[in-house]
Amino acid sequence: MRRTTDRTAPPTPPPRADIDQRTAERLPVTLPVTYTIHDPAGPIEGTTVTSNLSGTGVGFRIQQPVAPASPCRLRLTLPQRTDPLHFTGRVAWCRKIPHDSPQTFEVQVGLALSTPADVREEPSFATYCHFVASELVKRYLG
Amino acid sequence: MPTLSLSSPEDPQSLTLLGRLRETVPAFLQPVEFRLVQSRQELEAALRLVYDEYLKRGYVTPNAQRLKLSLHHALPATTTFIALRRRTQLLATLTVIEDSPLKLPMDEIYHEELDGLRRQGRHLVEATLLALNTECFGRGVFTMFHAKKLLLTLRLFKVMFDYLRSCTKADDLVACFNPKHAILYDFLELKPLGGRKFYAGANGHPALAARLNIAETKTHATWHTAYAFFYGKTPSPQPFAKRLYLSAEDLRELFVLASRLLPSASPAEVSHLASCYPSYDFDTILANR
Repeated sequence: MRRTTDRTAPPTPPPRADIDQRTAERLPVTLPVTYTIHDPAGPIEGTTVTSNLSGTGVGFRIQQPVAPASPCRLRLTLPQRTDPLHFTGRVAWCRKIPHDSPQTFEVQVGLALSTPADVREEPSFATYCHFVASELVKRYLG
Repeated sequence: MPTLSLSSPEDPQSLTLLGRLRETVPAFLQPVEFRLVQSRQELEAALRLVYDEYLKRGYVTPNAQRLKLSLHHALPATTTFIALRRRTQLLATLTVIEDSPLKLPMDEIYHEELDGLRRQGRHLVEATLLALNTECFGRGVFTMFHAKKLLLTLRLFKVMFDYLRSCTKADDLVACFNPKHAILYDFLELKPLGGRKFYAGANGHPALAARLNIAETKTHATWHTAYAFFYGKTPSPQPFAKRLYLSAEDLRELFVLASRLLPSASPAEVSHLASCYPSYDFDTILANR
């Protein structure tokens, strides 16, 4: 996928051609999310909804650019659950989404979730893992 | 890479470029056939895939045959399932072993736990030797998040469940796996059977044991997406009729000449195997070269 990154991370080696290098499948799932991004210019907090998610990260829109690799904290609320799931992670990328007026824009961010060494010992992550797997099954085998 | 030479590939280029194809998940799965092995060649390809993948992770020590073969494969009820893309490329495999006088492979470390179920009159089957071909998928993304890996695994499990429900009287599915794969078995609602132990059968790596009451899985289908898929179509034994039945020559070549598993077996094990193949002359099978 072509992606315009305002602040880019260092280039990575080219992928091996004979192996599926795509990362986890992104699912167009909308979930309430509360975030705190520790940008070098200061913390950015807010509540919005996800535009997509995968097992390794979530994407949503915010109002201002943030620096890639900024640490962040997230609270995600899954359907049929009242208690939110808590995660930490980092900004993987961000890009401006222009509006009709050149002066106004939103920013789409992709946050990479920190994966615990033992998924089962991290209840939030295990719950999230099952949710993503269920969404994959519903989407492709349902 | 375990590639079968059963027929000419329909599209050789698509096989070599499988990984980088930007095809959709349904398009990827469409040419994949999920079934049990039907020939010794397919069985050996499946066991070689397991061996290759387990060797990469240190779960096996190198052996000359490059097969992850055990005496349980000599049992006629042992069933190996495969996912075969375009009839030539082996993507994944899984084996189920029915309880017998040979016991189950995981009896090696979870014997007490399994005996507890046996004492309740439960008929056990072990799901084992699950392997996905990392030459096709890489190892970067956890199976639960990689759509192709997850769906391939679940499709393979569906064939296994269809088989268990239509061709066996199994009460419980049991499994023994590395703790890092536990999330998959949790997702499939397997319940803990035994705590963390070190498994010589996996080259000393840690293991956990879990079980699934097969009769209860029908109710899972009302709320669990994977079980809704497993129970989506009533299984028929017909697709399982064409299965591999090892000949006396196969037994001798695999378990005497190539591996020495039969000569190393106990008299009781040999006697049970002989009873499974009443028309075979086990003296000839076991004869020195």
